[in-house]
Amino acid sequence: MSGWTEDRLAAAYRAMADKTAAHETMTSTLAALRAIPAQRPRTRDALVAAFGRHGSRLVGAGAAIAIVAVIAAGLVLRSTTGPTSGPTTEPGNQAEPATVDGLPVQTVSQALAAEKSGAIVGDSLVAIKGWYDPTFPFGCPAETPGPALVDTCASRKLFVSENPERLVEFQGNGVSGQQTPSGTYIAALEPDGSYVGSLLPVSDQSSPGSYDPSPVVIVGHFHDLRAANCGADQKAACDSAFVIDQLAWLDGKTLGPNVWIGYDSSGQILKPRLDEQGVMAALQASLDPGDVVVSMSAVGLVDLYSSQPGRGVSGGVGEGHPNIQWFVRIAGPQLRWPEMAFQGGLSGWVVAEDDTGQLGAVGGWGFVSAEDPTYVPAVRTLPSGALALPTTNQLAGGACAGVGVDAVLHGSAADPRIAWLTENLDPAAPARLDVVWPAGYRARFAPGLEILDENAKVVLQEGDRVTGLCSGVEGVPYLQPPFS
Amino acid sequence: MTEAVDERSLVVLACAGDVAAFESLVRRRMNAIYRLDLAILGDEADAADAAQETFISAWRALAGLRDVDSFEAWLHRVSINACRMLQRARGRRLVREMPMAELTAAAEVPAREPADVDILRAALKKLSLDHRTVLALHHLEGRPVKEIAEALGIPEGTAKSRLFKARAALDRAIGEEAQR
Repeated sequence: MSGWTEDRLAAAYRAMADKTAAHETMTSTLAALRAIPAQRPRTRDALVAAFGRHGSRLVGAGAAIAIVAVIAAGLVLRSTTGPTSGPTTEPGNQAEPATVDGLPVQTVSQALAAEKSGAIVGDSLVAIKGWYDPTFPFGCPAETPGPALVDTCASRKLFVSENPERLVEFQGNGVSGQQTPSGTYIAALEPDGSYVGSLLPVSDQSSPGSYDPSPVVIVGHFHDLRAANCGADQKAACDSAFVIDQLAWLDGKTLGPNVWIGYDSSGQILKPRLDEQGVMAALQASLDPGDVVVSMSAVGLVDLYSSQPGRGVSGGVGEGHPNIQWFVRIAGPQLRWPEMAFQGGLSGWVVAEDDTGQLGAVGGWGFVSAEDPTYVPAVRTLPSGALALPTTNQLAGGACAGVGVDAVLHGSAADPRIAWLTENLDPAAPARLDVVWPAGYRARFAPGLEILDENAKVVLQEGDRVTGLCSGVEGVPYLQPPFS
Repeated sequence: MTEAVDERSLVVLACAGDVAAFESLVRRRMNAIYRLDLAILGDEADAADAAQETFISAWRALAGLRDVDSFEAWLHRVSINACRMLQRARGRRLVREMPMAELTAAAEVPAREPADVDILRAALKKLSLDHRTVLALHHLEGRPVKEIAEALGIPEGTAKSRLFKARAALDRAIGEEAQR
């Protein structure tokens, strides 16, 4: 041991770090911030205001994502046949679809009635047709950001109404006012990690006609899992909020599936190694034949960390992970791999690493991460007959902040957590330590406890010693190989 | 008190898209973030890069900030992540360029008793980034375990355990360096 006191160590630290950032660091940082295009606006129209003119020019970024590519018309990303290029069609002449991604297209009032009656299971996808009503970028008051699903002035949303409604009023040469739709409508919230609004035509104050409603078909879901993060007084509103997963069709143009490429931290467009076909190939082994990719976003690591805090992917972000990740939304049955305890719904998501094409995290289909505050331990039998363990959204191999432990694995088929560790700190009073496992991990009793990894390989057995854990959340450690 | 309230207002404005408000936050926080990054990375150029990356990433990710009152802890997490990313990128560089003048200057420095700061700097190079991070938060910034846990996004028990292990590892490394 060094024998250094706390004071001596603190003094050495202060001396070592007794520096100020160079002036160039400050100026270059501020310059870089100003060069990042339209980073903060929360409404589509605010982006329009930032970028100006009417036309087909790319609009820019939402919370962290910029549109640079839209895979439109005819690229059918179905797992059954692999990615294929369909017929090219001229924009503006495609009839309104009766179905999208296998989903029947409903009117706004039909979708709202179905949600109200409880007919929509979990966060299953719903296709809705209506009228997109452009809005004008009036400023929003500064407000404390609330839960993601709470509709506020600053929420990124599209008004989709049952009947066409002109929301923006003109007087002379300028905008004089704006109203919300008077009839039946949905304020469809744009999801984190994508920017549906930038697929819309740009409205321009000098062209009042650009504020005319357009027929639209959107795909999205009610009952977003993030509603669990809302307070009691907001829970009902959050649960019934509609979140867009795809802008499928607009005024004669088929736009789905949507593909976005984000920016890196310096404001440059990301250059992923994989294209959308490569992403499809990477997912192929996991998808059920009935699955359809509705959207995919190439995002930077920090953006994934920030935009998906409620989806349990943050713990997988760290050293050893590539910088670009693909966040892919899927409609259809649950994944074939990894096997997890799903509880319902017909949509989910995966995160694939751009460097390797490997899946890093999965979720949806009603799955609740064991690190989620709403998780309830219970004995659940998987289709294979194995027992579900409390797992995260992340597959094994992610970041691990190591913690030493001296413990032994135990389990019971009657225990809600199935398997746990017993610490040997005090042999007279061994302490039970509940743990969380990687996605796809499950257990069986043959007859003793066996822990299977995502590939059904036995990785631990009853009585095995464990000496290494990863720090988890809420004090529950995360356990992934190596276990010692 | 006034400063805290003012900073909260700036954070609220920045969250609403006010770039001027965020620039004010950058000016206020730059040196503190730079010093933290320097203590973690041990290299001034890397620390400057990480500090810049921190604020750019924070600006782009501000939508992910759920609680404006936790801005400081959140910014620390962004900064620590920036350090991780930078170190990973630097790790790929097998040979680090060093200016000839620096080499010459190093050769001309007469032998002397190493100061504590030299020993500490050399010892920290032997530690993992996780250990350097928790030590910097505690010994440089004087943060208690609770705040370290918040900054790292880990349970308090884990932070305490990590700090203990990091301090033990640092003690060993200092001992080795002091005997050289």
